[in-house]
Amino acid sequence: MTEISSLSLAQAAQHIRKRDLSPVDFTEALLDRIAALDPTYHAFIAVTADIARSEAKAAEAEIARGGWRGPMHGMPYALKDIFDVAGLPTTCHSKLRMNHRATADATVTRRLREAGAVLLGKLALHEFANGGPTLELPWPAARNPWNIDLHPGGSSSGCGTAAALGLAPATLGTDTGGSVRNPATCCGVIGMKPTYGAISRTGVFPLAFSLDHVGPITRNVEDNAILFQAIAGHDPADPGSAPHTHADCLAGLKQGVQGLKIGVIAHFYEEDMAADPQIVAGITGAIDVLRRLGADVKPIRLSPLARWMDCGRIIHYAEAYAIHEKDLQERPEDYAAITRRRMLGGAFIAASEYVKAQQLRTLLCAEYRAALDEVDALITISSFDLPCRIDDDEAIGRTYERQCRMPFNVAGAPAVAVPTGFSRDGIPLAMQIAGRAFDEAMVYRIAWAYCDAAGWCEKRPPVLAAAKQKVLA
Amino acid sequence: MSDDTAPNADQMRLLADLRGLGRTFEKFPEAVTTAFVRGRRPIGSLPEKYMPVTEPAGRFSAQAEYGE
Repeated sequence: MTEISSLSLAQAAQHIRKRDLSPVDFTEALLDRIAALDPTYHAFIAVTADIARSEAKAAEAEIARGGWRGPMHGMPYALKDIFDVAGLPTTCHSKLRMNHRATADATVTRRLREAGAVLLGKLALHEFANGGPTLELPWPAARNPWNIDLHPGGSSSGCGTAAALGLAPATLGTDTGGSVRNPATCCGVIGMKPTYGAISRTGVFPLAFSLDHVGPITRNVEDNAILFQAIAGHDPADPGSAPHTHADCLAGLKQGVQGLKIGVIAHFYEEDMAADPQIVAGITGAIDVLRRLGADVKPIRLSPLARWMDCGRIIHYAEAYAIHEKDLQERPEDYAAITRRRMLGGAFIAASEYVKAQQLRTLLCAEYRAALDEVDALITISSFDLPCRIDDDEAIGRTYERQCRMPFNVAGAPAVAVPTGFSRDGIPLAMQIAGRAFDEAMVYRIAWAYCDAAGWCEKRPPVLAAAKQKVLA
Repeated sequence: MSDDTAPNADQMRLLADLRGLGRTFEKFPEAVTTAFVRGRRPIGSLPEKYMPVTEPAGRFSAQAEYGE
């Protein structure tokens, strides 16, 4: 017997389709779990219980009439509070947006609504997807499910926390320099930053237009692929959206990695910057698993990490400042100190430096493409350090610099963070798997094979062992 | 004043004013000064293939980059 609220998205979808799981019961079980755990972990800024009950009821009635729409029908989900939902505030976890109210759905919200999904609520984040956890904001910061004193990663912090605690089987975050993959790394779940332009950003508050991506965070790889599949696709309203039909990510998901060529970007963490030895041990173990599964794993070199980071940093700072300039001039006191510090950096970037960064980006993209001519996918670590204390502002500031995620934002390429084990203190470790543009199918395929063999996704935060929930007969 | 060194308070006030951040500097001088140092950090090293006439990615397009 399985606890209802512990069902994965894929499991729940099957049960809902067969009508032996009621979307209403599933939603109620999750609302119960949220009520029990969220006062401690603060994944949610707002729980939309009334909307969830109404949407679950409508889904149940439609499915009972034989109108099952697909795996997201009747499926509860939650959104980083940076996505518009018509009639609700999109706070961006900021005092500046407390009185906002969205007049229309974001494109991904609309797609999930059309798929029959059930909105559980809006999730915590770092202010404007760029600050850090702080007591200065109107809502508390999300906490790490594996150790409440630690940083859950960001900026999609509530997504990582909610996914790991099983508060929502599907969550959506955004990633400009790693903000989906960092919380996935810290919380021991799966975070996918897809190809630039694969998922619409219309109705999503921007941070840096040319680096922003929407991405799913879930407990396992299959769930992530299902959610990606439900929302990906061209949106003429998003100027960055690619008119490209992506491959079916579910059809070949479980094909394995036998014969695939995988490049390890080891110089990022062996030469360019020193990583925690436990994180290196995690990826070393993962390489062994992939080889055992039949993959040909070999080293591959890209430009030094610092070059990728510099390129991303300048574009990020300049574009973010352009969005926030007026508020930083007129009401700087309404930002939290950490956000203010980070946002202001863009005020002093020379125009020529921004152009150089864009020129550099052209070269780095070509370099990345050439590397992927030799192999099917790349792997490297995600963070250089284990999650720091949530109240250590200096260490949190360093998380933006000491990471290997930004290169894939610069390259616009799909990259997923997957768990590679646990530290001595029981904190998740992670690596990234990255691929060619629009080849999310390959990235998911490798991630699924690795996670299935390694089994790390099955482990749950200790607090869940004590929770008593309804069971599915 | 090099790129990675903070200017003195008078210089910084002038730079902040020029960027419309006079009020911000009055309230948060340290944040603006730190931002100046951070913002002026140049790209550390450029690839050998880089030339000033390299076409920039005006707006990044995965489609264009990958010839889809």
